[in-house]
Amino acid sequence: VYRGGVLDSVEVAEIPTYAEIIETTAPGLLRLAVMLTGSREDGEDLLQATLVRMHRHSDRLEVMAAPTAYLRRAMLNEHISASRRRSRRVRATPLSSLLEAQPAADQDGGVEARDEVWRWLATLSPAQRSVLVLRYYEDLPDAEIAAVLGVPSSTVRSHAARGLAALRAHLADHPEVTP
Amino acid sequence: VNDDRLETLLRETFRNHEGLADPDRARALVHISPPPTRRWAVVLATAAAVVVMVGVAAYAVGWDRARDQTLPGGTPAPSPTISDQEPPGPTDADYRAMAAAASAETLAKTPVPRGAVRLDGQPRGWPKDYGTSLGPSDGRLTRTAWWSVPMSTDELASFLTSHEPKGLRHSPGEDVINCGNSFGVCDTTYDPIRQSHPEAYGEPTLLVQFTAAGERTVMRADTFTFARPVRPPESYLTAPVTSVGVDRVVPGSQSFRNVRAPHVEITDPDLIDQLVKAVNGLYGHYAFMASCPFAGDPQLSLSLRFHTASGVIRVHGTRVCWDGLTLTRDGQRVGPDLDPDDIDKVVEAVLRKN
Repeated sequence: VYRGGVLDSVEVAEIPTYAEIIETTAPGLLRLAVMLTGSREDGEDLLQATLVRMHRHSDRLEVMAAPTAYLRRAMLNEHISASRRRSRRVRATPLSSLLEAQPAADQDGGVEARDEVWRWLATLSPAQRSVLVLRYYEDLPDAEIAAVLGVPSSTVRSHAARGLAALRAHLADHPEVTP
Repeated sequence: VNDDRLETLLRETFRNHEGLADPDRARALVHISPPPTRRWAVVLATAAAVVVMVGVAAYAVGWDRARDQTLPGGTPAPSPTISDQEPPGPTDADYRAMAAAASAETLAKTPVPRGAVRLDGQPRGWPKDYGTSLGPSDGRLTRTAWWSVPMSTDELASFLTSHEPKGLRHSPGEDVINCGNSFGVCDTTYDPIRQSHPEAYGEPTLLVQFTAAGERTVMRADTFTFARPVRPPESYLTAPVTSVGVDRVVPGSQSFRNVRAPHVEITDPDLIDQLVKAVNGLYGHYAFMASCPFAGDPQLSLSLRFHTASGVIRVHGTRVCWDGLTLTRDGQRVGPDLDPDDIDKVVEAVLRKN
């Protein structure tokens, strides 16, 4: 209650249950997972792996001020760790990923460029791709990206700058693609 | 192609592939994921049962002894002398109460423009999933308040920029007001200027967020703090230390390539004293749950072994995110984890002098 510039009571934020938090955030987390992994299947695998880990901490998740930020961080952690594990073994490509419907082309040929960029993103390291996803998809400021990834802000900026430079060079090598 | 065009292209690329993520499938996966395994609950229940049984047995034995000692002809047992006992120290509950009080006090300092109306809760129009974390904080100690402000967002931004509550100041950074997110919510953070009781709780930070709501602006204030666990007396180093063994994993020259530093044994009394003081100066660690990304292999870590005549006291832990340090005496854990604070710098300085 606010009276004449002095607060004489405060309210405690209502705490959602673990199930409510997960149900609400799952669609957004899956979108993030797809952006990080580059495919529907891998994205779903990543979401499920993250949820399995989160089940162990459900009690703590319920009392967090920003569970979405925490879940995002957990997913990044899971993604980078899993990428390292996968890099040590030969990996099969799911057939269904080759059959996914491609987005329809628009008038200015932009889809072709975006598809080329999507393929180019798959060549990046998990850390570098994560920076680009957090910066240009999640719209996070560099300081927050640095906190999420556990690296200095300067590393975030250099990843982003190198990423843009590499993309510029890649597009220069593909003059048939109109950016 | 300039950077702006490349950034736009990246944004368009991500948005163009959002369709690969089916929201219904995401919700279905929530239910496919296995239920939580609550093994710890079984362990706790078993431990509690053992404690109760031992307690009952001890009580029964003690009651029998007391009865024997007060039988006619026997010598009464001496009563404990209260005057010889140390006054009881603070408890975890005390620290928690202090943190809650500080949280409410900080919320009350929120700069509120004239004419603002306090709201009962979250109004319509506020982004549903929008949230921000401010370092280690305990959601149960967060205090929240809402206002409807008769100002535009620009006017409120200007007001908040020029108003710093007593004891708080804007977080250092490039911009006092941050509006760089896709939710259309701006925010500013006020940090405490000093720590009142650093041993008990983290001085609350104040986050003020706001977004346009018609001709007015909705403003939300949240406090973030945490309570520390009490550090018991037996967790302090009091016995003379003859040497300290230092083992560390430190960052290598390449990103994510950490290396094990050579073992160092400190025997200089002055340097030992600096390390003892550093450990004795640490506070209890608030166990913030952080899922931190991969930060190198092997993990950054610190281990200090204090050798005394009565045994070895070890302080060790990984040094990633908000991990605490564990203190053990001859392998037995003592007290809560400790907040590492700047102990890395102290160790670095000691090693340089060694």
